[in-house]
Amino acid sequence: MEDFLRAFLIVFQPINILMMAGGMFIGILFGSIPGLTATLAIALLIPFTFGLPAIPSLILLLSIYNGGMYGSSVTAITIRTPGAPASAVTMLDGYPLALKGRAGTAISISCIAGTIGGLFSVGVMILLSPPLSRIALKFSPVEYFSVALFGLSTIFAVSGKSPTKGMIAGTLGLILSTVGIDVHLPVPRFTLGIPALQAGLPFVPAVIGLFALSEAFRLVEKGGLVTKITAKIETIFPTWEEFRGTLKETLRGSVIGTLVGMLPGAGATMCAFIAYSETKRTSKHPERYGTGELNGVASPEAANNAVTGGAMIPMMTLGIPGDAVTAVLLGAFIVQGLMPGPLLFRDHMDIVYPIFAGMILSNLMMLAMGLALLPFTSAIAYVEKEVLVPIVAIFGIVGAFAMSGAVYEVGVALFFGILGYILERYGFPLAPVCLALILGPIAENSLRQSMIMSNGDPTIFFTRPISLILLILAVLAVTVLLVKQRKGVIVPEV
Amino acid sequence: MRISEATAGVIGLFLSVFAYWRTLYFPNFAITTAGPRFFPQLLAVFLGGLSAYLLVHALLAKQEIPSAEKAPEENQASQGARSLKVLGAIVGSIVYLFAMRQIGFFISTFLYFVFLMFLMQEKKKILKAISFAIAVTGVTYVIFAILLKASLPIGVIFR
Repeated sequence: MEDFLRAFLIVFQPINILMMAGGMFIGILFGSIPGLTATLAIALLIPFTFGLPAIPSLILLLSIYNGGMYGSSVTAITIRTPGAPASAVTMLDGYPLALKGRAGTAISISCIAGTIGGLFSVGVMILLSPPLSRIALKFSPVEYFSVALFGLSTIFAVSGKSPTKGMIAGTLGLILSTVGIDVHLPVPRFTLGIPALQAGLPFVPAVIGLFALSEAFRLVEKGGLVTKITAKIETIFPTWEEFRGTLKETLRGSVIGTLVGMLPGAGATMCAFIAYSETKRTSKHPERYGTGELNGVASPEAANNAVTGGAMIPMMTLGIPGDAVTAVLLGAFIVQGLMPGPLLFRDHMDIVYPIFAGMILSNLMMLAMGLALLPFTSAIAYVEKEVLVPIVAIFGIVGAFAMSGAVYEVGVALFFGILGYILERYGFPLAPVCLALILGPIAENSLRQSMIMSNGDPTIFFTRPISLILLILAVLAVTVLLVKQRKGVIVPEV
Repeated sequence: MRISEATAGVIGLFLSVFAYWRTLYFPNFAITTAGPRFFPQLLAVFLGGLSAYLLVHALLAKQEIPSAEKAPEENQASQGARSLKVLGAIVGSIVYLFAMRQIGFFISTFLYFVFLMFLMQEKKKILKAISFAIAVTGVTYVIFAILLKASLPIGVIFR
């Protein structure tokens, strides 16, 4: 308890509050602009954190994550264009509310429900993370390989419509993760005689390329259209009765978002869809959904914000990110010299507690800023793409250059930018590449250590109970997703 | 047959063969079966299998029906123009990377911004492009060079 109070005092330092407010604003801004995401914002902002200490850096990036989730609902409600796929379902009832002149009420409910969902999931994260990390401390390379394989099985979940393309993208990412000097022996791999490649492909420029530069190229292709305003914000706050009426569904969404969000690969989009369909299924008036029902906004928004805490649990305790945004956040931890996983909880509780405290305050700041900025946020979506594209490209390239002042990092960012653009153009998702770049070295290292331990006998992975359970879970996860996709249930891309 | 998927399958197959061939140049150590070659070879074979599946699937599938909204020629023409724009943006980004070292951050960033904005604009608005380019170059410099103390190149020709 004392550690927690100290953590709150640290988070209340002016620099941390400033980073939180800045991160929240950037998150809401990027979340609101259709096509731009919190992942892209975090990727662009990582180079900004090099000169900063760990706590303000991570508070900045985690606030972007929170703000991005809320921001995407604003344009879903006002102009029927979700800032991110996670808010697509919010649109179903949010936009009809806007047409009735109640856009302000819908956005307020989205903000309040999002805050409750976020706070609930952070509470669960605080309760579950320390015991989970203590279990994970007992893991040997055998269990770690199975955990990494389980993480990689989620590539199916983040693959959108085509699991084959997702697996190809993921395998390509895994091969790219092996570029450089071998982890165990001084052997250069795939360096093609280029000395700079011996250092491998650095993760941060790769992420900048995959999510920022490729997006800029994609926007160049799509052109600079600007959507016209179709709804005005007239009323702002909901009545007490309206708020009370949404509380039950907000809590339902919070629980669904946290629990499903913990599963690697589930992602905010899937959680929001599940929460919405559960709310509609259990409602006494399902016919009202789709016509402007406040619960149809509250439940999915609580769920997609609750994913933030849920998805952080496997990332922080096992070092296994479940989706693209937590993979990028994991990269940000590494940049700060912190390796997420059980050792983080053993050796760096001085960082972990302020992160917990920062996430609680960040959610409260989202409520304050979300409501205060409400009259202005819907205008954010009208930033012209002809201005936006050069800004994203310049920040991406200069950010990669500023990392070390070397052209190599920018070259890596450009390579991944071009690769990302080509992959997306032909229907290959980018999230598996990002996950594979993080999980590849963990998987290879633990696989080879396990093989040394067993004298080359691969049955070692099936003779240890935790490893066996994780492998069964991985196979089950893949089977369930494949069956669902074969039946035509589209799994949304993360 | 779906041409784009079949092409992706062929490229995937080529990449898997290339990756496997390169792994043969990694020195092999007899300490364990899982040496430096092991994981990349496993991945190359897996990539080959997946690409072959994609190729066969694409060859057996029916051709997608093109959009009926526009005439095919019009579709192809606008698609070609858009692809050229993307190619321009990629080449521009590579040129920017090298120009930054030669002519420095300020001039190269200004030119790169104007270039990308012109690529995006249907009707070229020179004054708007120049004013935004100056503002963004200035803000980027303040953020990276002054606040974050990153050393941005002043350019070889100005030394």
